[in-house]
Amino acid sequence: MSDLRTFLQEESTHVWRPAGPVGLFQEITALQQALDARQQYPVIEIAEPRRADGSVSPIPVVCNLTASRELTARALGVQDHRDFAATYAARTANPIAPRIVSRAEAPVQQVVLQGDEASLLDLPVLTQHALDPGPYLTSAHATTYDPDTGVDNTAIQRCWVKEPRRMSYYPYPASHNTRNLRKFWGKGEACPVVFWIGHHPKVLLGTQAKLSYPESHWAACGGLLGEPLRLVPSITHGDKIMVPADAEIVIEGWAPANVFEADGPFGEYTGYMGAQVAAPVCEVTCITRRERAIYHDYGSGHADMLVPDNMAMEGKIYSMMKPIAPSVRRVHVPVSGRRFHAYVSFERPGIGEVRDALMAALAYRRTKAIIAVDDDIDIFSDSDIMFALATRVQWQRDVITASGLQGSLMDPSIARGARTVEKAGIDATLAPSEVPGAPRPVAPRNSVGQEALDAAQALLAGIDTKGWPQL
Amino acid sequence: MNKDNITRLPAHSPAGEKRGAVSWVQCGACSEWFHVTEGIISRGDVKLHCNHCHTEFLPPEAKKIVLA
Repeated sequence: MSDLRTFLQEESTHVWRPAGPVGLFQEITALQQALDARQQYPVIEIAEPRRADGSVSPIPVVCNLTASRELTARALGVQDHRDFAATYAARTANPIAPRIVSRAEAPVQQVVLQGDEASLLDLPVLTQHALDPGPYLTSAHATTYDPDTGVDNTAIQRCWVKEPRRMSYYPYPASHNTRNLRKFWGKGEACPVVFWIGHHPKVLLGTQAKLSYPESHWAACGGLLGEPLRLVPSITHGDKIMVPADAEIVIEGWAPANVFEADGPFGEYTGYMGAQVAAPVCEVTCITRRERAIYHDYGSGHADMLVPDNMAMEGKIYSMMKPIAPSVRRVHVPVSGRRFHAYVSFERPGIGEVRDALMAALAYRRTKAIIAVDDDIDIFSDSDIMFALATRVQWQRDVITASGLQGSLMDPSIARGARTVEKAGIDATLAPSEVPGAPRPVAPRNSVGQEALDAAQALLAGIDTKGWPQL
Repeated sequence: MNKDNITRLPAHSPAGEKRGAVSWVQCGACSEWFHVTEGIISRGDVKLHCNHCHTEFLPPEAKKIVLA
């Protein structure tokens, strides 16, 4: 069995526990921002989260859980994070059905708080950014179901805690949770919803699997776990909405029909503040949790949240391209490009193969620009990507552009009034060989020999280079 | 909707010209600006929330609205 605690135990040497209280109002997020700038990504566990009134929450906060590609890949048993895409694609393609357990076997229901006993204000909810209007749940996985088929859907949704038992939440308009909401509301009914917080990264990444509608994420989670995900009926909605039995905290409630409130501005994954929107609300009926619950927070717009989402995207892009282009090797959705860019390496692609693959992956709603390179380019180095763009691209010949496609309307560069986006695929590979056995008709890269390089490394070893001029 | 407090920016951009897509509201209470989707304004029935002073008000009560 895997849960948040087993992961913290597995990576105990990579968990940083600052001494003393740290404030929920921006201070924890500031730690993440400072560490991002230093390119250091330990898991952070705050034992004494300090509320705005100065009191300390008895519930600890964990963040930066998935800020490191290395740790996130290792959570799935992938030793080299660069190989993540293929593994993720394979495992989510082999789902394992969940297993239902009783309430007595479900740690997440050790404490059940209903009615006025349930208070969102008892949770150590962070206000992350200076322009956020209030505290937001950022790792709340919203689970709803399709009333026509009973099939559930799960997605992370930002939730603004407004009152002890009321919060707004923002399912993206094109999302499956919005479809479910609209179906209930279309019948004049409130939409049942639960939000669960805290689990092993394998489960968190399973919920990021990009599926058709309606299709449950539980089996994808099982595929990544390598065993059935343990579920328990929610207190409010029974077996119509199951929740992970080994989660930390569950918030249950209803979204009343056609009720909207202002939500945001909110610091988003784009690195910009998302605009205020009209969002549904959740009227909370029940909060369940473990006796010594841990609260999980994703640093929105930071590596903490971008890395797991982007790595799941890598799996999706790999599974879209590979059947079309067998020469696809690796995929990287870099934090520097938020969720908009993908870099893909190819090993000796055939004529037309790269462009076929680019066309396939541009159809994926989340992509905006995809850059294809040869496998001598390190796709985990932005500098290497820039080298390929500088030396292997003629813009008119090598760039495929398409407009009127689905994409993120949170992209700050979007055209006024647009409901779709423009995308580009860039073939930054070198021209292939045209004569069997002959080199490619392009210049070779310049470099020194391995022997000379080894000698240089040996000469530099042991020398204190601190303070030497940087580029 | 109170049209007097709304400035609507031109809908179309000449080719090659960049024009932003974000709409702004000036709070009637504190005069600070915050950005919103055009959708929350056009609905008209959802109270806006100033993220600076936390005043809530309907769009006609805004000091200014600039719709992109």
